[in-house]
Amino acid sequence: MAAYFPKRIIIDNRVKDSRLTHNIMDKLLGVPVEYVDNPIMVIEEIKKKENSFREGKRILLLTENRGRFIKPCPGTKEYICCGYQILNFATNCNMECSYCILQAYINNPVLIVYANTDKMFMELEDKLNKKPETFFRIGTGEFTDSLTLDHLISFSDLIVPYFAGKKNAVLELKTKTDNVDNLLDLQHNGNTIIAWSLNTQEVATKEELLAPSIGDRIDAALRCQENGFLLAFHFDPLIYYQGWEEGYKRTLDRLFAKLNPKNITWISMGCFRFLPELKSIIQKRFPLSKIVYEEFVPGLDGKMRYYKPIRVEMYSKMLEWLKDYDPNLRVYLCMESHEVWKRVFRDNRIKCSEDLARMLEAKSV
Amino acid sequence: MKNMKIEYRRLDLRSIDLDDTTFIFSYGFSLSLLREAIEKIGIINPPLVKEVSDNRYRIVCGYKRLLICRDIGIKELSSAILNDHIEDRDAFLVNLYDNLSHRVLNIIEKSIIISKLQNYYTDPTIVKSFLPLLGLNPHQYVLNRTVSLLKLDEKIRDAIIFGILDEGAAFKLMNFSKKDRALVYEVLSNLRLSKNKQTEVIENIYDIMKRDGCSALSIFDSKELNDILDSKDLNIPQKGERVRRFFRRLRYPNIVKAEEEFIKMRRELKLGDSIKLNHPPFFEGDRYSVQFHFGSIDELKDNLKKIDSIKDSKKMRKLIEG
Repeated sequence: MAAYFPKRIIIDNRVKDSRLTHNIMDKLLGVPVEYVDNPIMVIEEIKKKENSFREGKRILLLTENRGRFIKPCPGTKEYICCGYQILNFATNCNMECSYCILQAYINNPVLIVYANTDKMFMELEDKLNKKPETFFRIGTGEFTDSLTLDHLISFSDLIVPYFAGKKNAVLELKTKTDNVDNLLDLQHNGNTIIAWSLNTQEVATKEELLAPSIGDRIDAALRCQENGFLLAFHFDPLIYYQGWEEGYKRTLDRLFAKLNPKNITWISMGCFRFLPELKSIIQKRFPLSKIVYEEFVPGLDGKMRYYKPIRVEMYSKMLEWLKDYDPNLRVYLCMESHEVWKRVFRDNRIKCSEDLARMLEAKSV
Repeated sequence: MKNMKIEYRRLDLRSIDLDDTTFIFSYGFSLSLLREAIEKIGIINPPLVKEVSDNRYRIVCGYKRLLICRDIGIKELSSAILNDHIEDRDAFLVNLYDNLSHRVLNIIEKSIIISKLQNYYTDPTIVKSFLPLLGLNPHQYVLNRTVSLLKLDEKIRDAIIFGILDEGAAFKLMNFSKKDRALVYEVLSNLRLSKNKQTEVIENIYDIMKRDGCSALSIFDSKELNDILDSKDLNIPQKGERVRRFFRRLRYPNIVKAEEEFIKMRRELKLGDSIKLNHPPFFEGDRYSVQFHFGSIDELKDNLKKIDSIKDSKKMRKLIEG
């Protein structure tokens, strides 16, 4: 995949001297840079454009995060949530995945990096030190792709060594990219898990535009494995279509042909789900996509989900195939009900979010 | 509009261009009542026009009155003439405020007004200053959506203002090709479905077309659908309901099948009319419910016995336990 380069950089004067700003300025000579006092104006200007999503991806805005850097994953009580903590160092992404929830979730199309990392580290210190007996799983891949900007901002240079020194936390960097060069020489002490979002090659080609192929993602994972990183994989969203079984089986075959299951910390599965307003956005922005035309029902959290038996069927088959590779693989469902867990795993071990968090913490440690 | 001056003169009707609708946005009106009034008492309020060239005039207010004058053969009438310094934008606003002061505008008229305002103002100005005047929410999205109604065929625009087709449903029809849109409208307009059901049917047809990569025509070719539409035994509401179910089954085959099986199972349980067994909405949650009524202790006992029998149903057990 060709690495991302913005067409324009906007720097909020409040972060002009930050480390991330310096990192990017060293690497983006020749790209027009504009310094502003009020970055909101930039966002509002882009929002007015006809194709604001596409336009927003061409701009990289460095500003400060005035809210909290760390927040719990916005799970809902109706479904079992893994209790993940999100480290929000950036928002939006340069790739064009038709199903991306950010299109409906965030009222801002611009690619933003929050460069006031001093505040971020203070928050992290506070959180991790206040509860030394609590184990934290922290990830950066919820509102952006964890690594897609890494060749520009070298965020991993800051965050991976920081977590290497922590005893009560792991960091998960979740990506669809093969942008792992920066990572390979970093000291991680086993505390950083590199995770890939995987799908079938058919879905990757049709729905994950500008993202690397499945083969490239697996090759990048192999490089990380060779450098001692723990790995994770997220089959999320699982997309139902004619031929999905062959597609996902093929991806698993390719994955386990190269990677050792022992190095895989966890694998998650989550069927495609979306806020109702995302449907019209997908129809408009990705008219060739058919993913919103399957049998969806309103979920208990208000999101549209595949009709339950379809989800159970997909998870059950995936689980069966995964266990064929290694029965000890730690597999979990993202935002599913106790009933679905029971039907898929045919046991009653995971009844609530706390059960799932405990299961993943045991694996992390 | 400080310099607006009006002069009153009698004008030859032929000097007023009735085809020039630059300032006009009336749509979907009937002339019959006004015509009757003019025939009885004549024109009390003279139309307002603007001179565009020597002895040629453009209508500002009074379009319907002038159409009637032409129809009933009035050749000359007293008219109010705006001085020619008034800009077109201001003349349009005169008509807009005049109409806003005395009648309710329909949605197509609002869309015509917005599209004409776009000749004189930027979208943000229209959104901020004019949409609230028209009773619309001040958002760009609302502006775009309202103006887009003008792309609909006249037949469908008429159906909206005459209450045959819901406005929201009409917006959904915009996603179809002209040919498919006409076909879908033709079927819907004869079924008298409620607003929500119109939207549901249109959405389902569209989704089926996209999912299966087919045209509306190929879906409408179905024998089952045509049997419903041609049935002499069904009244219009019954046809509407069957058509709605037909498309729902096509769109959601597994869900509709599960619903039908549940109804069948419930019937087999012979719970009677006073007990209602419900599944979770769309079978998504895991909470089933039983409702019942009773008027005597005996009836209560009888109902409880029947409810107790639910637990022995293998189908119910499978549904709950998988």
